[in-house]
Amino acid sequence: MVNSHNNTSRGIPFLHTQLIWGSIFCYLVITATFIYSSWQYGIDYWHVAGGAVVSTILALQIIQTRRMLEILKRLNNTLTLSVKGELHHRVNSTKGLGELGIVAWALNDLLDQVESYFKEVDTAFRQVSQGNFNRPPLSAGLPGRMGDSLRSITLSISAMHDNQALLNANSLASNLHKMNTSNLIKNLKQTQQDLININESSRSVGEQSSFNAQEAQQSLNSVGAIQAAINEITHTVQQVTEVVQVLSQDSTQVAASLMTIKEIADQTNLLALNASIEAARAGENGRGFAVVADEVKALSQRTKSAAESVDKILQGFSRRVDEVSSVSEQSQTVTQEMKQMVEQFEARFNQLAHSSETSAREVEGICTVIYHSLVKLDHVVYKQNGYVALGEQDKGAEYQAVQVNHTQCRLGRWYYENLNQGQFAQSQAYKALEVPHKRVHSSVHQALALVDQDWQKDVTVRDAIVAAMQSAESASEEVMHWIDQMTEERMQQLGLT
Amino acid sequence: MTRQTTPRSHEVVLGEHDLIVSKTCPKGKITYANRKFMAISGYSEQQLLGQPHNIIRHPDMPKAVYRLMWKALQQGHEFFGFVKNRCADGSYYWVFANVTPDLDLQGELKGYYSVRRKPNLETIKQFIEPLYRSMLDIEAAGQGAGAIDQSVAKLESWLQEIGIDYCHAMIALYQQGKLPK
Ligand SMILES: Cc1cc2nc3c(=O)[nH]c(=O)nc-3n(C[C@H](O)[C@H](O)[C@H](O)COP(=O)(O)O)c2cc1C
Repeated sequence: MVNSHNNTSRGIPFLHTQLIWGSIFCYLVITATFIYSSWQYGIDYWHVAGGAVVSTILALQIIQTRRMLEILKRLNNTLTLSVKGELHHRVNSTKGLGELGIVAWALNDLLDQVESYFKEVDTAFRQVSQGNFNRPPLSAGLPGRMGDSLRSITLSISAMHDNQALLNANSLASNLHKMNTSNLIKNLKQTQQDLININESSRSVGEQSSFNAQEAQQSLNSVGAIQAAINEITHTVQQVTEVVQVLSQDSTQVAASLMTIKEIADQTNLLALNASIEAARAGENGRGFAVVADEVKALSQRTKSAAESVDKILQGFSRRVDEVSSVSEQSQTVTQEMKQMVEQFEARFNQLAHSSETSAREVEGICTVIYHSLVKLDHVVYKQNGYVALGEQDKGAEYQAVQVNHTQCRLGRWYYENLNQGQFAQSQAYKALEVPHKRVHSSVHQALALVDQDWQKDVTVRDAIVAAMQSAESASEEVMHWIDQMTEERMQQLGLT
Repeated sequence: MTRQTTPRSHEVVLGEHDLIVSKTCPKGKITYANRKFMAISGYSEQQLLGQPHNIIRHPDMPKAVYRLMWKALQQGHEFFGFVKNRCADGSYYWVFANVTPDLDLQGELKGYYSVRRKPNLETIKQFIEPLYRSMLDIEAAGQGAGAIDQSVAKLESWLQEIGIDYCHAMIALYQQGKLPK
């Protein structure tokens, strides 16, 4: 409108200017006519009255025209401001201006409708932006397109409301899911730490109990030595007892022999007495014989006294042998008791050593189970990290965590440290584990590489990501299977199944 | 002045698509009224322009409603309400009014704008009249600002009972003729 003003008004004076010049011209014409007719026909009453009436009518006409121009100006202003977006201006006080008044009211009505329309739209959307869907634009009183427009806005706001509910539900679900996964990893890590702790403590229990078993074995060895020593003592004591018994028997025999010697000595003495009696009877002839008889008598007496003193000694000896014998009998019972005690002790120790050894094996079994669970758990954490990394926009901690390959993760380190060593050398399961484990890592890496492509738009990329993760999952299942298998093998080796 | 006209029991009913529009300056004096306004209220433009808007206030309207209206407007919010207005000849007419601040391009307050639409008279009988009557009783019983406070409190307890905010309740009554559950 500003443009059209410029174009159409170029070179043409405004109505206001035209009015001023027109009025001046009219007054000049009236004045000229008045002067001419007064000069021609002389001044008379009718001339003056006619001139006055014409001038008054002209003046009223000018005033009315100026009001009209004034209203036109206000109409123009209102329109100009409305074009700029200020819809609240109106044109009033147009009474008595006929067609111009009609135009002004028509403009007012239009502006009422347009302003109402925009206020409704504005308020409704402002409320929507604040999450309030209960303030639809009111369409009553707005005709045609404007009413229709508000009605369809009402519909779209209610659709937005539904959508909002859906969006909220979705964002809730996805937030919950996110929370769940991040918590899952946290929980898994906690469990992992728990397992590591349990593993360490049961390992030390295991070490303790195998140390116990060794100790018990050593103690058992020393018990054996004690037993041998006691056996030896028993043996010696027995020998001593036997010797003493033999001695005692000998001394009894000696005593008996001494008795015989004493009897012989008595009989010899008697014989010598008889011989000396006979010698005395024989006189001189028997003198020599009497000497011999005396000698024999003396000899028998000495023999008897010798035998008697030997007997005394022997009696003392025999008493002592009896004492020794009773003492050695006593010590024999003591050593017997000792031997029994040591035997019982040994039996108990044997039991202890055996149970220590069993518990050492059992603890090793538990350690195996725990360690294998730990390895499995680490594997699960790896996968979870993979999923989180796939969902992340920025390459965060999880992304870094899944960059390791199959030789660097816990499972991998354990695997390649024990490569073909000890129990693993013959294990079928151990050999079978390597390939699927490698595939888990390569598949996750493949999926992550695909995420860098435009998966939002390209369905084939999305499908490829899912396929890679599926391959990782199936490989991971195999890994789990072979680890379980290894556990079983080890349990059999330990005799624990 | 015409304001002294005694109220009559004659009701003027708005047409289905009637829009009664008026504008005031920031102080509440009328700066514009559309032809529907004049036709229904029976006032001429000259009688209206420059007058305070309570020129058409009906004594059956609780003061608390206008208290709430001015509070909302001063906070820059819109206001909805069922309003009973008085014509120049003392008749009355019910409207569902919406009042909003008028801002210029710089966002400065230039006045207020009000659009009134035809309400459902059944809804008014069922919900609005009993509510307004109880508020009026409270206002009549007490004196001064305290009575209006109590009347506002009455309205608020009514809202609390139905469990939604004022604007939402009014729009629901206007559009559905009942309160949302
Ligand atoms: C834009 C606008 C429109 C209004 N419309 C009405 C109306 O239709 N009826 C009415 O009684 N008051 C209306 N008012 C409120 C009056 O200004 C006034 O506050 C009210 O009538 C109470 O009068 P009181 O202050 O004398 O009690 C309107 C106010 C504004 C700003």
